[in-house]
Order: sequence, then structure tokens, then C-alpha cells
Amino acid sequence: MGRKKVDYLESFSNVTSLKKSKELETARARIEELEKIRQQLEEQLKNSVTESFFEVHDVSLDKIEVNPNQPRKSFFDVVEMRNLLLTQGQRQPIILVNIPGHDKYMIFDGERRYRASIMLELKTIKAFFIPYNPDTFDLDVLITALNRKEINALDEAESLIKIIQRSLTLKPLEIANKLSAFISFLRRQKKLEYLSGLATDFEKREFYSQNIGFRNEEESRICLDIIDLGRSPISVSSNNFPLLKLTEDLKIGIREYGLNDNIAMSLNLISSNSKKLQGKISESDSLKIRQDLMSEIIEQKLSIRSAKKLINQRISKILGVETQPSNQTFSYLDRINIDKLSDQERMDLLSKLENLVSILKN
Amino acid sequence: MPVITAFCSSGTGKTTLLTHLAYYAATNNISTALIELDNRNSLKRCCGLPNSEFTTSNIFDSAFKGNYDFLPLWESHLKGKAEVCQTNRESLLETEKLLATKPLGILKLKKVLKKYKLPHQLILLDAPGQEGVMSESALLASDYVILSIEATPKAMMDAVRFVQILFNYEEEYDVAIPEILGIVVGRYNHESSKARDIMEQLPDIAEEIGTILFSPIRHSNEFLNCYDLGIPLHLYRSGHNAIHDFDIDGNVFKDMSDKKLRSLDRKFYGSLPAIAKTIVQIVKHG
Repeated sequence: MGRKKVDYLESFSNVTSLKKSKELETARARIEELEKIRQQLEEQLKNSVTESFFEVHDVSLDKIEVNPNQPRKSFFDVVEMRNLLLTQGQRQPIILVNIPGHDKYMIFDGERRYRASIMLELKTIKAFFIPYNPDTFDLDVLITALNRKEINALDEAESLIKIIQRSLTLKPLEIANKLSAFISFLRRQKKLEYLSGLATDFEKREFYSQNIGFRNEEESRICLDIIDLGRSPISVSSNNFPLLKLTEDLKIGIREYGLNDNIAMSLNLISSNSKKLQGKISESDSLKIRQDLMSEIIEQKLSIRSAKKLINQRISKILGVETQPSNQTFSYLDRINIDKLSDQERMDLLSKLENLVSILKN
Repeated sequence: MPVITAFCSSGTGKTTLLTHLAYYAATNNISTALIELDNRNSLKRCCGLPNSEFTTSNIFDSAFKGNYDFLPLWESHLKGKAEVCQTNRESLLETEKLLATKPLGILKLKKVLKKYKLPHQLILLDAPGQEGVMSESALLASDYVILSIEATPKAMMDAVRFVQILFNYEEEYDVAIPEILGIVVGRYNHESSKARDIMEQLPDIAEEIGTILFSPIRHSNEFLNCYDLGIPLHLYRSGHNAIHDFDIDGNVFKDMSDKKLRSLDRKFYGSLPAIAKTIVQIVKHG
């Protein structure tokens, strides 16, 4: 007969079971807490990669997303980049940002190189990271693109509009018209130089902005936004904003086929809406003519001068007027040495030219 | 400054354990305070103390401003490294009554020890075995509690009850409870089959309540003899092997033959940590 053994452990277990269930609960909560910390650490780790500036990483292409707000919309020259990548390899890393909450890294700069790499079916691309600042990201992208001058005048115009629209609720053409009206006003007031002064002479900025005579908040906002982006309002008004009025097919021409802005503006005259051809041609006909001319110009790589000549001939044809070949070449204009003119002479020349321009416009 | 209390039913050798811990700590150059919270004033006898003006009741007095006045313990040997605060039966009974009427009275000791910090590196609280204001005060004021048990069925059930009380404090009142430093068996008699049964189960029990098992302190009549003389075993019989039950791992089981060890695993029981050595390590190294 064996001795009877008392199981003391069971008595202790009854006591500890309550505590253990509580501990289990605490442990679960703790695990959740730790999981959160782990996620935070992972996020930090991910961020710490981005903090290592100037360190070039090989980033997998499928870990990269394009910036939907990329100001540059033309990528017709990706093929050129592809060829460059093929022959030279990737010389310059692209720039990425790590946006919290995004699975992929967004391109800050280098979408063309990214597209070319995809075209070449590469797996990775050389890239480095910069920190992400949600407040300035779009602006930073735009400024970078503007400074690289790789953005076409049309995309630039639209980006500028977008920036201006951050503070003004105006339509693109309203903004363009307001700027152009203000410039005309300054011209009449003989104060146009104040605007160029404002754009170029940073130290006297205060003086110019107080004396220029903005007639309302909108005018000052538009001009200052453009100047802050390193552009001249006068140049934007005459070179960029007019492109906003282009027909859609011409905008596509600029973006997809690299159509020259100047030529596009000339082609825009062939429209049922233009002053010259109003009522003389239907929009569908004008569209067809524009497209024919555009393909001819692009395929034959016509110079601006020849292209404009071609377009004018076509317009005259529509109007039923034969253009008279002119013998005047105005080559004497080339001989004016502006550097040697006195201020007074410059002003005189400017007003004479303005007169000519207004006569020509009419 | 860890505060340690030993706990469980009376007669398990708590006072013997604590006085010997104080002696061992002091000889290891750790300044130690031993505060008696048991109104039976057993320290007077086992430490050979004279009467004193200052007793434990003074600590609980509302006029107390940290002017501790402890007696040196075994001064000729410990050179003031260990001090005691004994009780006076009548005044401590008064104190207990008073504390029992006050809400949160059992937190008074914790508060006083926190407010008027003792300069000692180790503080040992000798609380009574049965439940009551003083044992609860000791528990709540301690950082560690030693589960001091005897390997008898009665003491085991008391231990279960004690663990229940301890966990209840945490569960019901949300107060910080001391960590169970470990289980130590006092008056261990290996000849008793009941004691061996219990010793066999204790590793699992220790694991169950989340602590460790210390090397047991053997049953020896010499402890009773030296208790009577008011000195520790070290001073009474310096060559007695029981002295090393406090400071050598698994000392009780060291010299036992396999036959004598019976079902106990030599490797495991022979390496059970010695309690005094462990406490000295805690004080010195945290």
C-alpha cells in the first residue's frame, strides 16, 4: 500500500487561475501595444531610409509611383531618354519621397527616366530620397521642373494657374485676362518697368510693390505668385497664358508631339472662333485643316518661320486672298544696337514699336 | 533599499530566518534594519535585547518625524552594521487598534518608510504569522516578500491562503503588492515523508505562483538553543553545517546519499539557491 499523496499544486492553481486570466488579458493588451510600437518603428525605419540623403539606392520599379500632380505632362521624348539609358546607362539618380500611408515611393523628379526604365523592362532604378513635406510638395515639384526648363510653356502655364488658384477662385482664362489687363494698364501708366523691377530686383521689392499701383488683391496675388516662382509676369502673360486659349488638339500637339508654342499659336488662328475666320469656316473643317498642317509641320520638321508662312498661306486661301510676296525684310531692325541706346532712346523706340504693334493687331 | 518581509503561518521559523538574514547581510557589509511588527516581542528574546524607549509604535505615532532610535544588533560582532526596532506588547496593541479604525491605516507604515527613509541598505520586517493590521502593513510596505513555509500540510494550506490574500489585494484594491522573492522551507526535516512529498511538489508550485524555490533551512535543535540564548547560530555553533543552509546553494541536500535523497533529483535540489546569498546579491547588484 502506497502513501496517499496530497496534491498541493492543485490548491495553488485554483488561487492563481484568476490572476492568470487577468495576466492573459494584460498580456494581450501588451502585445497589441507592442504591435503598435513595432509598426511605428517600421515606419521610422522606412523614414530613416529616406533621411539618408544623397545616398543612392537601387529601388525596385514596382515600389515607385508617379506623381499625379506632376506639372510636366509631355513625355513624347521618353524614347530619347530610353536611347540615352541604353547607351549611357543611368547617369543621374531620380529623386523620390516617402509619403506616410503610401505603399510606394512617389517620384519627386525623374518621371521621364522612370518611364524609360519601364520601357526597357529594367527591374530597378537608381534613386535618392528627400524628406516629404505635404505643404510644399507640389510647389517644390513645380519649382524643380521650372528650373530644369524641361517643362513646356503650356504645362508651365497650367501649373502657374494651379498655384494662383490656391489663393484665388478664378478660372484659368480669367486669371490670364486679369494679368494681361493689368499689364496694359501699367503700360498706359508708363509703369511697366515697375513690374519688371518687382520681378528682378529683390532688394527693392517693397518699394516696387507699394508704388506699382495694384488695383486689387487679385492683380497683386497673380503677379506675386508668378514672381515667387521665379518667372516674369510680363513674359508669362505674353508667352505662357495665351497658350491656355489653344484648342485641345493643339494642346495635344504640344504635349505629345513637341509642337512649337509659336506655331501652335499661329495654328490656333485657323478656328471657327478666330476673329479672322469667324463665319467663314466650320469647326470640323478647321480641325481637319489644323491637323493636316500640324502633321506636315512636325513630319517635315519645319522651322517656325516656314511653318508660319505655310499657315498664313492656308488662311489666305480660306479667305480667298492671295498673299502678296513682300520685298520688305525689316533687316534694319537687326542693326539696332539696344545696348548703346540711352534711356530716352529706348523709351522712344518702345513707344514706336508699341504703336506698330497696335496697328498690326488691328 | 529593498524592504523584505517574510510571511506565512506562525512557527515556520520566520523570526529565525530574518535574524539570521540580518546577521549574514551585516557580516557581508550591508547595513541592515530589522523592524519587529509582532506584538509578542519575540525579537527581545532571540536577539538578546535590553528594554528600549523607542519601539515600533513610535514609528506609527502621528508625532513621529523620522527620529528613528534603533538598538544595535549583536554589536560586538556586527559593529553596528545591523540594528533592530523591537516592539512593546502594550503599545503595539494600542497602535494596532488605532490603525484598524482608520481607513487606509494599513498604508501608514509604507508612507512613513517612504517619507522618512532609513539609511540602511536592507530593511527586514518581522510581521506576525496570522492575518491582521501589522502583517498587512508589512506586506504593503515591502518590495519583496519571502514565502516562509514549513513542509507540513497545515503550513501548506496557510501558504495557499496567503497567496490568495496577496493576489486579492492586487485584484480588489489595485494596490502594488510585493514581489514574491521565493519560497523557503524552514525547519525542514528530510526524514519526514510528508516533508519530502511537499519538497517534491514545491518546484511546480513555485512556478505556478511565478517565483522560485530557495534551498530549505533544516530542522535543528540548535536553532532552538541559540534562540533561547539570544544569539544567531553563527555565534553559538560556528562550525554547525546548518549555518550554510543560508549561504550555500542546496546545502541540505549536498551530503545526502542517493538512497537518502529518494525521489529528489540531486542536480536540481543540490543547486537550489541559498536565500541569504541571493538577498545579498539583490542588495549589492539590484
